[in-house]
Amino acid sequence: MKNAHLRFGWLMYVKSTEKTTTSIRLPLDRFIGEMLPDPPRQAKAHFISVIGGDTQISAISAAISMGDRFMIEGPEVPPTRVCLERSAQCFKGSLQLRERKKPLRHLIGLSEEFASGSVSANSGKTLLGAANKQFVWASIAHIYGIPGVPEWADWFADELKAHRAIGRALGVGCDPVVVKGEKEQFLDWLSWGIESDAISLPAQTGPIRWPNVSLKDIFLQAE
Amino acid sequence: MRWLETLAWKPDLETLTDTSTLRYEVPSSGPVVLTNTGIPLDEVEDLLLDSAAYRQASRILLPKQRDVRGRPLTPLHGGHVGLLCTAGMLNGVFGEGENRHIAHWRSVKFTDHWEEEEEDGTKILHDRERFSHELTLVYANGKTQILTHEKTESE
Repeated sequence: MKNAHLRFGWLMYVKSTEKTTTSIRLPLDRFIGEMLPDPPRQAKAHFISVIGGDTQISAISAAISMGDRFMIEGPEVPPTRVCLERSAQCFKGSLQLRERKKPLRHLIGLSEEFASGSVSANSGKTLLGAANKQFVWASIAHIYGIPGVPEWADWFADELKAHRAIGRALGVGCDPVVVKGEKEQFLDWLSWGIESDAISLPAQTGPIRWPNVSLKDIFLQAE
Repeated sequence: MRWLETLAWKPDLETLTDTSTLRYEVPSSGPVVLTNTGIPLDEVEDLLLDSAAYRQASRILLPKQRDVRGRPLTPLHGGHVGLLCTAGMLNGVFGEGENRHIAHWRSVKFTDHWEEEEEDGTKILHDRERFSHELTLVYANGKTQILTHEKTESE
């Protein structure tokens, strides 16, 4: 794809000690976070994906482990101070480019809350990486263990909107959402939906086939 | 340099005119090739989603609905079916008429909490975590039900 620089953001990390100051600026391909109400502009980071050299990625990984703060900015995201907070998880990978001898390093940092889906489910708030209707319904059904079929995705999206239970989260390279609600509440909606004939059970008995969702489906792609 | 310094102190310097008497032409050069030594983001963007880091993170980012297909070599006994059900491998539509329903099994972590008081008044707080099964049902008439190992109040 072309013009990736228009979709990428930046992650800045500055660490000052008595003798030296380290400053790192890395391309940020995805970010998911929640804006915090207190000024100045800051957010709770849940997902950070950056690329860079060995040293830079090691530094960012160490900073994540120490719970340090970063500055991020991206298309339609003004400079924002973010932090993954304690017990964040890191995943590392390598990218071998055609004309480079040494591979680039890739680092993903995940907040504890986002990494353990059960925490989200118990807090009545679920953070999802995309606003796609099919993806939101499949994720909620999976996380909360709600019986349903993929065809109910549009109806569920309407219910979320009607109950004001869905809101946008801060994102770079994706369109994350926060879904508010508990399992019992979602089951009440299902119950009412079936009673009012807005949705109905499949005519055939048998297993329910959920479509496979890949990362390419949920992350924004170049038009 | 010296010559320029002496010029600065020279009293009878010629005044500058609108047009210069001497012209210094910039020599022409060959075509310039600009090389980006930074990270080639277009190529990186194409490769990123296949990186090992995204592969590991995808289990958190994507819903994993179990999809089991195929036909068992021998008929399944009740025990087999029970194991498959509780593993969430037989989620689907069952029954007829009013009993028609969608069933969804999953494993859930339950936490038991209790307090114990010693003779000297010391309170000991106990937390025991264990995994158990949960079956959620939605019937054709709109009724919903959550069944766990715990007895419901009506029972």
